[in-house]
Amino acid sequence: MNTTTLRPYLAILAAAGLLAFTPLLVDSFWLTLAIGTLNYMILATAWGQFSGPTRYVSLASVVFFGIGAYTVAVLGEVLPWPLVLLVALLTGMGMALLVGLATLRLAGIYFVIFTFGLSEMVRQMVTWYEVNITQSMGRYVFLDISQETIFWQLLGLLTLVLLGAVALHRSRLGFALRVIGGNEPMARHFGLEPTRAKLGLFVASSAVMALAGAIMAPRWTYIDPAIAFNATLSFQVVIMAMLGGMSRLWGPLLGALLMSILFEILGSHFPQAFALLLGLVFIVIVYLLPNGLSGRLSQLLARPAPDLSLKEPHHER
Amino acid sequence: MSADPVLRLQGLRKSFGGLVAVNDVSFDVMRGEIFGLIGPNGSGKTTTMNLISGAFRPDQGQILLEGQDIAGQPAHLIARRGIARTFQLLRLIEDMSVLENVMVGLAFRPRQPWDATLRRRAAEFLELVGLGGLGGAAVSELTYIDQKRLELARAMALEPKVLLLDEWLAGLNATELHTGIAMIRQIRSLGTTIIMVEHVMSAIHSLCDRCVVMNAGTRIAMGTPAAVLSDPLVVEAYLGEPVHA
Amino acid sequence: MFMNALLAGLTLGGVYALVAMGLTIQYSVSRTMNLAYGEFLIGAAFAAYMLFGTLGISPYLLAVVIVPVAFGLSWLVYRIMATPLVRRAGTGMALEIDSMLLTFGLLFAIMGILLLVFGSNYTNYSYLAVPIRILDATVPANRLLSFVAALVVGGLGWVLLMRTRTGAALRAVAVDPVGARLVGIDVQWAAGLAFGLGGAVAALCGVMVSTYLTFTAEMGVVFTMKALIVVIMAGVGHVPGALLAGLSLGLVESFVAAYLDPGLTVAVIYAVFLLVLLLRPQGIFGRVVR
Repeated sequence: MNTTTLRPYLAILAAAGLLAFTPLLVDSFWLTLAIGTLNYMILATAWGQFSGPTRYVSLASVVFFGIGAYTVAVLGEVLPWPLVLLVALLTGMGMALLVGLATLRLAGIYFVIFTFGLSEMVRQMVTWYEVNITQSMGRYVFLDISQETIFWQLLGLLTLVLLGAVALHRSRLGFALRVIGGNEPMARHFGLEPTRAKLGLFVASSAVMALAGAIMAPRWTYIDPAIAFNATLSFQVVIMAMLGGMSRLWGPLLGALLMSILFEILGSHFPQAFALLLGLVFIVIVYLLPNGLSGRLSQLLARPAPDLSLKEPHHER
Repeated sequence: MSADPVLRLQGLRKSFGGLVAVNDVSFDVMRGEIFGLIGPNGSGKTTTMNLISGAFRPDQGQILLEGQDIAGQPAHLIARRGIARTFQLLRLIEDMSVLENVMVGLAFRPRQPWDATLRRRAAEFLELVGLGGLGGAAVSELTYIDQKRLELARAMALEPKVLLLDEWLAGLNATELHTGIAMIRQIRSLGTTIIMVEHVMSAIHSLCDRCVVMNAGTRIAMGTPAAVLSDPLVVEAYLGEPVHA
Repeated sequence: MFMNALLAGLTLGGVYALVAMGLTIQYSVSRTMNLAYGEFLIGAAFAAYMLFGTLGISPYLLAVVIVPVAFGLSWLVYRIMATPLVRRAGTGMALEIDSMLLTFGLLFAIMGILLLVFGSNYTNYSYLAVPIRILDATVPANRLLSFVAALVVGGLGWVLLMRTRTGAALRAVAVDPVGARLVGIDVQWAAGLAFGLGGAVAALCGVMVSTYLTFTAEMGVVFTMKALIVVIMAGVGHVPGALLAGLSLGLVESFVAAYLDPGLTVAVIYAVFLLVLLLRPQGIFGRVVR
């Protein structure tokens, strides 16, 4: 390996190292905002790593996030923290495996619709279980985990996700996913079995989301199914990844950063306009930024001087 | 060409709803042969290709590749066993470079390591079809014939025992056709067995050792191109019902 | 209990059937999966609520105004918003994803407007809630009327699609947009019309359910979800299948609520949906397309 192949890994590690000082430098307002942003960055990146190349739009992010959070609510005071995280990870993976096996053989539209309703179903089932079996609706999470620790855990997870994404991009699996996104029926004729590749990545991406949910859970102190499985989160994740664009690793990070700031401003000043804003951003993305901000920026940088004399398209056929 | 059949089709049948697209079709393809599959539109040629490559699953019959039945196996396993194909409507990936499109043919072969040799070998296959040095180009920058060459390079990258060409020569002008025919000959000289579905009769005449003529899902003739194309049944299939006075 | 559950299931199923019929027409002809479909329904429910409250006119009369307006709005949405996407992406996967994202946007935009205007409270009013006895069970007149409306509109839709020239054109586009263009059908016109019809059906359902259901601005997705499940279970574009699957869904829901647990309706419906996806992904009535 030479220095160019190591450079992205080193850049990620260096950036993470610098950011690790954040909790020592800022007050609790900014730390809270930073924690929220990091969480969105993890979710949007994990989402984009699966949905970007395969074009399977998942609306189940909150299912895995919520599973992680609920694992903490149930086991947080029973098991040591690393084991709690491990259980969250495995539960998320198991759920993703089931969902993936059922839907990833099918066309993308079925996948969207299935994941669209999944959070509602899981929310109702957890509610039913809590009401009928445990006889209590909500759960309290009293864990002695500071905001600073949550920040560092999230930063660690994001670093791992980004390192993994770089490695994936260079791997055969990453190449396979691009081929699948390009033309799945063709891919089969060259020895590629698409379902397994898609399933593998969907499970990995979901596992990350479950971990994020588990790490975030202690911030709430009180969790009930409506909080943990709030379907809006899934849409927020989609919009962040799409706004940033998934053709570049930093796209979802940028999208998550911008939207976190926007949500923060809006949440405190115009809470009623939240849904309307979400809708408008979606529409802007569809019409003006089909490849996201990162796609648009790369395009602008690649062609610094638009030459109008070349506007005529080439007809080569 | 030797006399051992590399591919044997036996009693192959496929229907879609009420329509029988391929009806009890059998033929042997010899190793190193260029074998033509001809017939009027809708006669079942492309469906036969799709059955061989695993895009469709036959209702009945066997497809023996070197003696082993591959009928009904999923396409990716058939590809790994050594059957490659091109597509009638080109299926290249537009947002990948020319070289990466060839890498698609290499990357998922059994025991293919994922390292720097992959790019080098992909470049060799580009060289083979006359696209050497164009690896960094975008697919959309290639002319139509060059895109067809790229499809061929990708299929050849599987180093198949049997190569299926689905109207690979269609849409080429006279000069390009000449180049295309020479290229198919060159590939055969490397030892690859070729089955081609084709409408360009001059190409069939000059390339094929033998061919099968299909009409309405059934095999109506088989033999050398000269022999089958003068067969009255074949003439009738192409020109319609003979005129009764 | 059985009769009550049956009647409740049929009246509920009638609405689901109608909701799904509108969506399946929209999707099969325009190839735009309208995820904001339920918002049109809830929007109409709020319109009926507001107009009934201010003018005191019967919601059923209001439907005569609301439904054509919804047709026009849906048609406009398709012409203004979806047509540029069709022009950009043509057909296929890119268009499906683009149009899905667009309808996500619409979903939240419409929901956002409703939230700003009406707030997030549970809303209801009662109209014609007089009980009607059928055998040994009772059913409120407004629910019964919505069931009758579902039957009538479902029948009319069926006649429109199968017995008229326009219906034949719509079906042709649904089966093969390219072929339809070749025989001289204006595909964009057909898609706009189908979108408008779907929106009109959704609005009719919205007016109907507003007379007896408690609704909120955020409830549109519930109807969208159920309509989607019915459409896929029936097989995309299969209108009688959608009507039948919708009715069955209503019955399943009502019987699960009556005999098992009201908290498990979504789970059971989802289990059925999953089973269909695993065993017959083309839908119960759908045909395998090559």
